[in-house]
Amino acid sequence: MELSPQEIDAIFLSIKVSIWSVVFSLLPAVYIAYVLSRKNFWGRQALNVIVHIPLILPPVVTGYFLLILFSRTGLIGRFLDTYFGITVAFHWFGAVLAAAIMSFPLMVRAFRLGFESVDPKLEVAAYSLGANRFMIFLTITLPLVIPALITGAVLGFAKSMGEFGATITFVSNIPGQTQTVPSAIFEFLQLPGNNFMTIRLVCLSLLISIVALYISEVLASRLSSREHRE
Amino acid sequence: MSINVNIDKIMGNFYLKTKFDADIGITAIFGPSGAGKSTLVNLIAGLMKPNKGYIKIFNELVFDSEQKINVPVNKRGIGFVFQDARLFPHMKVEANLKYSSRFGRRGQLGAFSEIVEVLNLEGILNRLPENLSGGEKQRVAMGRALLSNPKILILDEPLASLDEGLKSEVIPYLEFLRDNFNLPILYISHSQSEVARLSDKIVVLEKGSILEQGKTLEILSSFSVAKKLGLRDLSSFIEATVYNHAPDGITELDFAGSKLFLPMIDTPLGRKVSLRILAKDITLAIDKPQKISALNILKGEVVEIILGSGPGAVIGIKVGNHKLITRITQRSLNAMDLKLGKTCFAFLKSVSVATSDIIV
Repeated sequence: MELSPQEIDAIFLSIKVSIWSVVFSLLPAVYIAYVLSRKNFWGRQALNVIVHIPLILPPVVTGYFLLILFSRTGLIGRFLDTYFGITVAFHWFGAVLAAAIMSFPLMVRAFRLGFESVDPKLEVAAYSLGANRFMIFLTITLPLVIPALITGAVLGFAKSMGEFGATITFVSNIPGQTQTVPSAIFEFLQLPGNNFMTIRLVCLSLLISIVALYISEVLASRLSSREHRE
Repeated sequence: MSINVNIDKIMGNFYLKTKFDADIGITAIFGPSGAGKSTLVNLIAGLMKPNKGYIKIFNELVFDSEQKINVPVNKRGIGFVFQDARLFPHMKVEANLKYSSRFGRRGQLGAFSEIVEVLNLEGILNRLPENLSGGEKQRVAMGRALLSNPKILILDEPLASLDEGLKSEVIPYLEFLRDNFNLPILYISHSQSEVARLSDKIVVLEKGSILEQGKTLEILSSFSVAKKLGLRDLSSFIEATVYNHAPDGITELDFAGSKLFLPMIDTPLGRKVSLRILAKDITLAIDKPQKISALNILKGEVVEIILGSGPGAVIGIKVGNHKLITRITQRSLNAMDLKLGKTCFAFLKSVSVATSDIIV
């Protein structure tokens, strides 16, 4: 049972896109989750709504907006093209952008739950012991929130692996270039006689998700026990 | 004075206005819940900003509304012990104790090993907070605060979440802190017995204002404070020394040369204990009563008679150099013809002294 080059490409592209998607979303998502859980400022609800928009919008619509903004004639796309010579539409990096935007709300939600479970009174105690705001975050808040960060990152990875609607609208379905696993499954479904390949890819994506989840669990428990040993 | 506080704070309908000084030793900030104790402490610590006024710690302004001085919490040098201990759950006891040293706060009050020794923490240094008892947590919290090299210490109801047994386990450490470190300590509490036991000075707060301040025992047994806090709680606070545990379950104590008999107090002989005796539990008689069930009969002299607006009166009886307070009706007062300087007998049922009013 040998995988076809097209399938191998799709699998590697999906993994690459998902990793980059998580890498790019991580810091902004942590920051926004922290701000939403700890700070009270004007426009907090608005920010909350904006972050959650990709969750409620049909993915095709998100993809359409991305296309408008990032195509070579789009508002941001033209700017990127003129000054940096970068095109994201119909490029694998566009798939990263689509996956990142779609998984962002999920990551923010998971991180926010984590921040909310850290008792602010502990931060006050650290403050009284001489820590400044940054050190409080680094030595108290962050270590206590790490399990939630891992959960959120895995959630973001899984969502990126499965992203389909926005991706196919924004970067299309070009084998070897922008074809991720879900797009490949979609293509195989369109053509007759590909049942076997479809099932194979479905099983593979299932396997990848399970492995990712398992790694995250191991990582989370290791980190929390190392934290305890200190 | 090592702490001078003169601040106003408006929070919605609540108006806090306080002016007091505190020195080395324990000053109790006392009052019912909602009196503004926590607000006051947060203002002193810098967690909240007063609308007006100043806070001086050892003659250094840490807050002044006119000069626009507002030193942040981490620079104020205030050691905090919270009611809920607030140990960092992801760090072992040792890391908790050493936390402040990461920020250059090396203890001048005592080296790590000394603090660990006096608070008896050697055996638990490698444990996580989740594996500590309530009393142990408070001891670690005290150690952590002491090791942060504070100029003053704020203890915010450190015993409130502990049961009676654990309280008497922690109190000796608090006394040690008071007697062996030259630190001004603000002790926040709503428990009269605790405050009577630990503090020399008291600031009584009510609805955001200072009702009274002065020597703890005098203030706590004063009529004016009791009138505000509820006359039912008017009490005398006395100290007595345990000299015998009788086989019939009675502990015998020496009180100002007289004997006191109370239900068994689980403590070694020779130990001083603090007692709170509610004024309503003391009965007066002119002649020494015979064949009476009350075990404690104390001879004294009437030194104070305060007539309330209702039918009651508060009588102060001097026994040795202590004062016992009792509440009787004005009808009894007249019938007994009590006058200042008159000798009388105060008696008290042993069983009316509740365990929670005895602090070992």
